[in-house]
Amino acid sequence: MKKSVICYHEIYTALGPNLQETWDRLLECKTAVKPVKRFSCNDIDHKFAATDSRLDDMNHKEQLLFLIEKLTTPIKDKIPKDTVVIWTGAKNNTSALAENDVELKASFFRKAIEKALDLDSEGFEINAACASSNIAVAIASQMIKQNDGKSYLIVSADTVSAFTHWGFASLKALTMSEAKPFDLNRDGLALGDGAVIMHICEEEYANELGLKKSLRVKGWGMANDANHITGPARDGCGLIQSIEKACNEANIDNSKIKAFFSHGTSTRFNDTMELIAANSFFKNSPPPTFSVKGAIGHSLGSAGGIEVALASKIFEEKIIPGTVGLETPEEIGKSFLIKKPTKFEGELILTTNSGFGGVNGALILEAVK
Amino acid sequence: MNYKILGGAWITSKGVSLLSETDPISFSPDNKEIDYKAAKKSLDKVPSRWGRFDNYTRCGFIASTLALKDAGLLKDDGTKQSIPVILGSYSDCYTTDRAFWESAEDNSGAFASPNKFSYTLPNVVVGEIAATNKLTGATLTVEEHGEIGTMAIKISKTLGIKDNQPTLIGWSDSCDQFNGALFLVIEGINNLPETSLFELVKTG
Repeated sequence: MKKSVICYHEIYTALGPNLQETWDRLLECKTAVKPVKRFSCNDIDHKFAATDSRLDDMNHKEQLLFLIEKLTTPIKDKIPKDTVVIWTGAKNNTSALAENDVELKASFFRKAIEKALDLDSEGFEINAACASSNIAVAIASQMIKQNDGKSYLIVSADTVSAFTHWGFASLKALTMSEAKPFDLNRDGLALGDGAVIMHICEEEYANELGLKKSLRVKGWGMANDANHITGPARDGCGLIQSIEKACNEANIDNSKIKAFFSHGTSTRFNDTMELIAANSFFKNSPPPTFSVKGAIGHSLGSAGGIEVALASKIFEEKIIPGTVGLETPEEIGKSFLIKKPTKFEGELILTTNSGFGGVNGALILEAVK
Repeated sequence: MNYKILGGAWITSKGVSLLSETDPISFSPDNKEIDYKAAKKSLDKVPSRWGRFDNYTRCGFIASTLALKDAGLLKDDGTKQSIPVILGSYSDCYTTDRAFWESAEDNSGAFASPNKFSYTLPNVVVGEIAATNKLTGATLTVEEHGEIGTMAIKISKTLGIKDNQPTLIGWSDSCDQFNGALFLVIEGINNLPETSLFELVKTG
């Protein structure tokens, strides 16, 4: 059986234009959530998101192409030609609506990446809502394991657009001020600009190419909670099932997981569901649990990949960044929710994402020594 | 173990057919509108959320539910089954995206339709299929560029591996070019060759 390994990875968030700067600001407990300026919020109650002012004067298509260029430029000529791109941006076509351009969809951006990197293989685009890039990591790892390709590049970009902001506002899912994951007083999520690029390689191939190896996917799981398209099952059954599948593949018991990098959107239903699932799966003794969405916002399809990249910093620096915005934890999470940066000791991190359509994805990550 | 097609169903503007029928309507999606009022009569039970579904969801929902029925896997007692649902589409929810945007743009979001927004992600259709039929396996949509269902089959062979159950694989579109959906229930997905759903239906 072939083994996969995560090699190069980079991110772009409203908190910082790369992994290091985002990480540094996370440890300073900063937030990028602020009033939105790039489109009108005068007629709605929800006016806050994690936006990067450098993107404010661009249309949605220009924003995504800008992020793609930022992420691909450093790896030009460094990625093998047989690399397959998996694009996981969740909502890519809002410029197309203004232009009535049905061709401007996910594959447009995937092709732009292939052209920028001069790749020979044709990639594909998946959509599993907010779990998209988490699940793309699972797909790439599993395809390598099954000897279906040796090199995959996961790329995702989602920016705060009028389409998504007004849409989530219409569902009353957005915060009125700041995102406060797992806080008793949370009132909704803050969307965020975010992008990620992640190269996953067959391990021997990575050795041949002399690539730096960062993380390994020890196990992955995916499950639907079969409840409702916009609301999670209250008992967290889908999330629990996805974590169980990941643990089964990793062949570990739950005590080996030393940090839970949760989805933690700051919506009432999602966060309570995650705490219930954590207590259930870890038998009322979950590992330190945290979310970064109070700092960087929720970047939809890019969120899971950004969180995998941030997990590499946790292993590297032995620090959990904490949960920006969390002041008064929910009772059922009091004993294990992490507010401030905390020392990390352990070999495995669990990261999960859940999304519209009842989807749940779980990854168990370990550092490559 | 070789792969086995346990059942299937499709819907086009010409009507609805099951794979097991002796003389099914041929599967040839076109750009004509589907009569959903007539088509929903083919369901044993119309879901309570039917009125909220967009056409992309209606299309996929009818074909997938009838495919489960054709395979003998449609449960009406709420029993959960760890069946994965993987769907390919060319234009997915683009028509609904437009409808949502029309509800939102003139008033800076003040009158944006929450119901329309709920259907502006391509994978929401598989969420409706999973929620109504209590399917708890992996669920995902993939953009199709070539033969119908080629990418859905490719992804199923990867993601369906852990559920150890038959896989519900389909294609659905509701746009200016195509209206229609096709779903098959396949056992032994790992042994399925790289092919398209269209080929599988033809060869049976």
